[in-house]
Amino acid sequence: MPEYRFFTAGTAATFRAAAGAIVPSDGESPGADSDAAIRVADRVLSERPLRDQKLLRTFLGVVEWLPIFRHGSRFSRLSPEARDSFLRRLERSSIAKFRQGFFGLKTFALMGYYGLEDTFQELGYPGPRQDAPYYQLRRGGE
Amino acid sequence: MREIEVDVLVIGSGAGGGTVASRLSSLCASGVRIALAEAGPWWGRDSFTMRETEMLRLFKEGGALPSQSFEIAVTAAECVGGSTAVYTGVTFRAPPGLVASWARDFGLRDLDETDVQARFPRIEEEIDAKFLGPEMENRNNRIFREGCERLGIPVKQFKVNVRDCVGCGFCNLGCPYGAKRGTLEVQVPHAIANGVELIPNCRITRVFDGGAEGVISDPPPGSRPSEYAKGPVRFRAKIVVVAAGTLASSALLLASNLEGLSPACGRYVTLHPALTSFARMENPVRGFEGFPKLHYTDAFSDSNGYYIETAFYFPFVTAKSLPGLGSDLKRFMRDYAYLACAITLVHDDAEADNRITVKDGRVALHYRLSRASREAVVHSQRQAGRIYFAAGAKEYVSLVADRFSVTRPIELESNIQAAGLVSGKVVLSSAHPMGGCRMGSDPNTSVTDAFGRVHGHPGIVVADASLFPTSSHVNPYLTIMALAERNAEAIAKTLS
Repeated sequence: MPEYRFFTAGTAATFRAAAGAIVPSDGESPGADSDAAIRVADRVLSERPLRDQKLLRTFLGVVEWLPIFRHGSRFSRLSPEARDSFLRRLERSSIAKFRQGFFGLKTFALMGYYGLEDTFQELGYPGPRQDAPYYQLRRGGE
Repeated sequence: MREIEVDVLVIGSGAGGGTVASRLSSLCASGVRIALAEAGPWWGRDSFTMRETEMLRLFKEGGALPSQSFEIAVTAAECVGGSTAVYTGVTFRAPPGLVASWARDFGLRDLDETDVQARFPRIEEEIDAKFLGPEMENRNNRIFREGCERLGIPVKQFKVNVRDCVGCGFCNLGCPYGAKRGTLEVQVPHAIANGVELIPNCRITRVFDGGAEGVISDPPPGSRPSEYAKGPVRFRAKIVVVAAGTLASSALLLASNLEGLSPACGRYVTLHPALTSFARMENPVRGFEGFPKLHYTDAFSDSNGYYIETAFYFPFVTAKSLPGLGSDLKRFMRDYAYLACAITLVHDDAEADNRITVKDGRVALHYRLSRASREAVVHSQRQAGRIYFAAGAKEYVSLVADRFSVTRPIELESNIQAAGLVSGKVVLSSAHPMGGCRMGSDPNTSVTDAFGRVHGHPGIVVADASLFPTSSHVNPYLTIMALAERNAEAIAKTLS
């Protein structure tokens, strides 16, 4: 198992399953459940205030176990279709905390995937300009 | 605890604090000692990597502080330059009559509309605010302009404060070329050159008559070094200028337990609530090339209470601004280079219950969208869609819509309804928080006088957007600078 700063093995499995539903892999590109995307999310989450970290950990626990009541299975063991459907219900839930939790979960999943430079090509986005002072200074120091 | 004795301590280096430090810095030659304490690090242009997730380090709370209701999240910078380090440089003067209404409605006899308006041209010259030429209009801006023109909607251009801009588009991640003329590049260097002492990584936790206390931390890797060792610090100062931005200034005064502090402190916060929407065009837009923001329309300002401005966002924030999840979201993002983008900004009213409190040592924001603001959001999202369809959009995405996207203008009204504005599902954004330490003559309903002096504590002076008694209804930094300049002049008189 990769070494994480924020995730435990359990929360990483839940997050990976949710991230894969938020940005699914397809024939053309990986999804937000790729190792690289999870590492970005892990790094950013580890730098968040402890209170926020605790909230997301708690919410990941809710996401993992809540489907037991409706689907008879933990979230990370659901089919991709069932995960998608469960998360959409959270987004539109009448319970504000569920909507807020999903918003946070989605934010970090998207940050992981769309913050990756490997994703830029898929978007047609060139990324940082290499003639800017930051990059010129580093080249000058090489 | 380290003790630092100065004549003036300025807290915050953004539009307000940077301006105060710059204006007072001429006094350094006559022996006046001024310190400029900034809670965030000192990142220079050579540390702006243009990588979106890395540059979240420029912002408070990692990018956004959500309100308790999760209806809206505030984005504010925490670094030398404050939010002028990460804004696009959109330069609006306070609308004519606004300052006069503040003076009239809040008993501010010393606040004069003519005086404030007269400051704008000079400040604009100082910071290179100007209209960019037509060669700087990228496709994203052209599409918006053409859409407005086809509908007969007046479209305007705003000034931006840049010099030798190469149009790289990375303004909101810190200008990597130093072309954006915020306080990071103009007022703070001017103040330092005149003898003001900049102390980055210095978080002030309490102010009192005659000084302040705080904590200095080590500069993070990559930021400019500081000669101040980490640890607690106590300032002795004749004048303490609080200019940490609406959220932090209000929270700082509240946390300081100042005797007789107005019950209005932290209240009457306005956020200029904003919502981004996107249109997929047939041909590439490549909004990431060229200057990101040039045009706006105020055609719906009087009738419906909002502006629409062009906007551009990097991939992560773009994706975060889309509804739902799954293949729809991924498909739409795959057309990132084909997306046009606008942001609608709502004129919200100053309400006492929209306020800042301090909870467990952290800022808590309590804010509810009024009915009028909700209606304005809905109207603005439909209207932005009409503009883009008139410009030839194939698909329009608004978070408020009850489906991922609409593909025909006729669908806008039925699909974008107030019922779609559900907190947590739709989280509006705010980059223009105002109020909280509002000016006024009545200590029961206002926090400071017309020169930012806290009622009952004339040595504590507020100088940022928290002074605004009501929303400016436009991007506020120029108005902040003008008010900060007035307050600096009053401080100089006090010192002399």
